[in-house]
Amino acid sequence: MAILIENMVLPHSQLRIPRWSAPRQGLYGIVGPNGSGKSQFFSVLMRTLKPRLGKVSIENCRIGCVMQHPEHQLTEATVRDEMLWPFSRKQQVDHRFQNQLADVIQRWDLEVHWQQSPWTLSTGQKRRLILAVYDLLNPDVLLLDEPSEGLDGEWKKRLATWLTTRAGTRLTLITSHDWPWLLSFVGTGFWCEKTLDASPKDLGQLWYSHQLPTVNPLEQLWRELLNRNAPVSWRGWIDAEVALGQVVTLWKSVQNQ
Amino acid sequence: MDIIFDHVVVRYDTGKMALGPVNLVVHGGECVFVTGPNGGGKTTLARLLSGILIPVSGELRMGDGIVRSEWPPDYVGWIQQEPEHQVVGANILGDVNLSSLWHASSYRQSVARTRQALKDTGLEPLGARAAETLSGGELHLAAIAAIMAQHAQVLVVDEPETMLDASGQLRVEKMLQALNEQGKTLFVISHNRIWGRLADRHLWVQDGKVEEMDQNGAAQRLADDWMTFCDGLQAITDRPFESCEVSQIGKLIWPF
Repeated sequence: MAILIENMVLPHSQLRIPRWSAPRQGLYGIVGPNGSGKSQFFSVLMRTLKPRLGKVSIENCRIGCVMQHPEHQLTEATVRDEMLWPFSRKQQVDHRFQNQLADVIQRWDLEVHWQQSPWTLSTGQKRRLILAVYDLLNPDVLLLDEPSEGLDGEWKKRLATWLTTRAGTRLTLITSHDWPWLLSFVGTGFWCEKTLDASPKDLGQLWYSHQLPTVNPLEQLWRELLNRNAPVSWRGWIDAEVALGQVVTLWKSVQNQ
Repeated sequence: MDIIFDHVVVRYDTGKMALGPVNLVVHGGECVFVTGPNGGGKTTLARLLSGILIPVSGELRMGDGIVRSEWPPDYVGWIQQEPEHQVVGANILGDVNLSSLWHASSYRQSVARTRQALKDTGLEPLGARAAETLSGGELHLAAIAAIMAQHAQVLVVDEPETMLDASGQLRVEKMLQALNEQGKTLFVISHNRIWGRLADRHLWVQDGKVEEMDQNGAAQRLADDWMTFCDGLQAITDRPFESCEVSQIGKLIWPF
């Protein structure tokens, strides 16, 4: 599998990608502000957008994408048909496929909706359905555009767990503004703003160095502590228990001085 | 004006219960945080308020008795989860203008409304851009701008932070707060506990049932990190905080 982008300029966002070579596998964030071209970058990889300039070379790889609005990907009358249409009748009766299908249906909790129209599902359920389709298709590269949108806390955790278990067998690129969720399971990422970084950096470092404004008080506290050189980790704030552990250690060290 | 849900029941076409029975009185100017698991009925509640769903039984009415089907067309503004469903203009300026022209009493007033909505959402530089050339976050702001131009008395906002980066989220939060301070009634539907802290009322919607609870109850169910953190810190340091203020806590744990 090889994906290489050279001297590319995208329309509208004007994102420039001097050179970007896809990692072979693993989980990576594609992060940056609204309108910077993250979704367009995915469209280029999916070959649904022609860049203004430059070239992309994609060899020997099957790419799947769960779009920002998963209902753009719904085409069938029932959840069952949505899941099965990419597979031939011969494939569908195969015993191994049947087992995989049963696993996928269970993983994304779709049995109860099996004969339901996908259009009657909630936004979170629609997203789970398209994720389930790609779970079954098992592409070499999976592009996820804002995958946590519309998912409740429990499903966000389940999605992170599923992605982590597949990290060793495929390349997954994730765009998201949901920093706590992304930082909870993704190690590195590419910053996308005017240009796309050629090499990945620690996602915690990207979060801190870009000083994004926030309405989350725990995140605000962490920025304040880091700005005053307190010895806390970049990712400590994403979980209250972890944050508490680090802050108590800090507080005790201050008390002992 | 109060909004009264009186034994309201909504069913799917299959006859299965989607929501209800809902009995609730929301007072004018309140901010109501609506949360709960996926598929629980939150968006059904939004559709009911917006008037595109009609209850199979019960009644949704204003405090003066006027039922939903007779409310003025600009009374409820609905910002949907999927902004593409509501951005229909040839470009962003045109789309917001469409909303202004539809709801304002004069052309001059509509121009002023459009200008203000684009300014508040920070979309002035993108006014000439077509919807399909915008990112998801920009499109979401465009949908918000068009609803702002409507000047609705009741705003139903489904997942206000959808696709937005941190700056966009902050901007939307400030806009909604300002509207609430002006006396507008807000229904904010979200999985994000941040909105719970801004609200006067907290509703948990699950399996079609609407349960009202206090802020702590909703925060516990959503596992509110900040409250967990503050409670834990007070217990360990044995220092009761008057308020859980970021700067106060920051100075306590690292005074350098």
